[in-house]
Amino acid sequence: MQIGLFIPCLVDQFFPQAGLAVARILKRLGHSVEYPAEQTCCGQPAFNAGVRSEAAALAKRFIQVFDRFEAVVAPSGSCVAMVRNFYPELLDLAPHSSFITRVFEFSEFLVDRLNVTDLGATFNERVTYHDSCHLLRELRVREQPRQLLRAVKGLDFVELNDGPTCCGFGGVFSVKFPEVSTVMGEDKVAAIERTGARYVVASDCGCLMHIGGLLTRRDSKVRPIHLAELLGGAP
Amino acid sequence: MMHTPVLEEQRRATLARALNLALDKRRQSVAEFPDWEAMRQRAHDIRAGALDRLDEYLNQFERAAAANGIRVVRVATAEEACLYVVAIAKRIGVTTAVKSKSMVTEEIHLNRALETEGIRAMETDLGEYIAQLCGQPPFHLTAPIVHLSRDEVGRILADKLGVPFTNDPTQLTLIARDAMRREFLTARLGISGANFCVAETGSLVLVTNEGNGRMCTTLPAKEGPRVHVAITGIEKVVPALKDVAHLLRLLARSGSGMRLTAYTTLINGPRKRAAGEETTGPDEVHVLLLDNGRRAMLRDPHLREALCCIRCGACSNTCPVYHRIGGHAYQSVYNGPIGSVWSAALWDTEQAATLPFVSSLCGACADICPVKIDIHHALLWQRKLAADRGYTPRWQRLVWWAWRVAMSHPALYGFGSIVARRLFSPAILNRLGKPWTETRDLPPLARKSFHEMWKEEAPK
Repeated sequence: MQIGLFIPCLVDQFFPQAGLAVARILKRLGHSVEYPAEQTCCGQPAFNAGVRSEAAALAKRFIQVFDRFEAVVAPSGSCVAMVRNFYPELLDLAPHSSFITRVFEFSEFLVDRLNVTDLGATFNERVTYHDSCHLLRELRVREQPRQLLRAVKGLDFVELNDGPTCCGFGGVFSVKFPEVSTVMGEDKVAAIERTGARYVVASDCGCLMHIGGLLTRRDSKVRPIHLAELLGGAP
Repeated sequence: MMHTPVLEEQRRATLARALNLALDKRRQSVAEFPDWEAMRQRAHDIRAGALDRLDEYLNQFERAAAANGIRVVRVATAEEACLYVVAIAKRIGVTTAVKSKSMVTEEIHLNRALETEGIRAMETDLGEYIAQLCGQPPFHLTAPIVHLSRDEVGRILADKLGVPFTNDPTQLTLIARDAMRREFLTARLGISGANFCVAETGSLVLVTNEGNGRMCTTLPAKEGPRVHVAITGIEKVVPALKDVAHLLRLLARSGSGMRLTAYTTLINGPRKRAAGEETTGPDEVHVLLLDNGRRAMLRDPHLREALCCIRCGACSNTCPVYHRIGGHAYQSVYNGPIGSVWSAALWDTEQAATLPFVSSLCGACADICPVKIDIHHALLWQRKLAADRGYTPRWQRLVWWAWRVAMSHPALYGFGSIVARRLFSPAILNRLGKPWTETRDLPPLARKSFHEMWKEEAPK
């Protein structure tokens, strides 16, 4: 399959390893992976700020960049939700336009589209999983990352019994309302620590950045890691 | 920007205990229905269907209610509604009114309007009564003092009523009942909201847990004319009683986890006066159907859905932001997720326009809503309206414009990314990143961006 790699801004700037892991895994499964270098942002930050005309300009651009691929895969539930759930409203597209239905989040692409759950990875650690809100509630992806994690040899999976509730990132929300966002994040981190896990896995770098920023601030031993990176054999 | 303080830790814990208890009970009572999802859809369809043919159902309700002897009055604004109630109070010569809990009367600030005319409105819902005693607005759509501990309630009653302190819930209830009973027995003006108006029968449906709703609407006073005024929004009309039966199955379960509220009251008109017919009940029943911005919501396809709300409060119970900031932080009668949508729709003020931004857009509200309102999508739409109306400061618009220009030119974005990498050490990044970094670290920028790494990776 001819796959276009969609690397959201946060992955590009802070977590490039997660992007590389996605590319390597997909290549290993025999697909051709291309990273269109002219890609930038899907437009979500402006959309969430209510500035829809700026968001629409980037959304149109996004479709031009990625339209030629059979499938577009991104290591982010949030950015894929932007494309799949909000582009139709933003650009007046049909909700099942052929472009929209070709854009996938990494874990749902592996499990639902490629029918792969076991990537042959080994990870000898206790791990918990944070459901990022947009992946869970916009894309309704809940089981796929868990299936992928459970197939990892040596991995001791524990559920994070906290709802699932938001980590408090919320994009611009975390900047506009830092106190509220922090308290939400601190409760999340406390729940993570209660599991005794050494790693917290998520499928969105926004959550990982927020949770990670609180973990390091309190010198926690828990490390945040993107699902793709864990499956790709890191760290 | 609105300053949104987080509740202090003790208050957060008190609130979380109460809200989580409601959520736990909700989970249990919802589990009794394997087809809960289908029930939500049906509830949505009932409400949305009623809104689709709103005028038809309102007219039908009006005719049926009139046939029962109820006076139905359409009021366009809060002011009009308040004037109407004041006029009744003056006509029948009362200086006290007893009130059942009603968010619409909060919306129109009826108590204040009555007070300026020398009429005391006494809240008789226990929570609302205590909130009124300490001069606070309701903290939550359905639970006005959900944030107070019983110790605090005990102190408020001791302080305001001069009774000995107790924190025993039964004793506290008895104290409040004592204070209210005297008023109930002599009141001649009763004010309530209505949870539903039934078009088919012209009935008002009122759900309460303390029986105070019935006291306020039957008015057992022996002397003088007695009047019940119900004030509700035009959106509360439903076609038939069978629709009410369905919605009631979801309403209390969603809000408090109870199967039904303790009292479900159907009001079908004033006391029938023919000899031997009815000995209790008011001489007149008036229903005010309030617009106050609802028709404008109806015209906007994105806000229309929000009119489906049956005011269960579940979205506040589950909202991680509400849990941390509490109801008063919204500084609006309608608070929490759906309250933010409503507030921004009803009031064209900067404060109200800010509320849709006080959300991480996690979507937990939409998942719990018994009538399936896409609450967080409505919040997103309200953010757009806020920007369109000019509530987004000019400098922010400029930032978004510059951001879009940079993102439209990959070379510019790439150049910025390389420059940032050279200039911003983690220490500088942490300084630049305030206020984010006051409580959280920012990860270091990767040594190479993905974009740069891919150039080396691609040939492999």
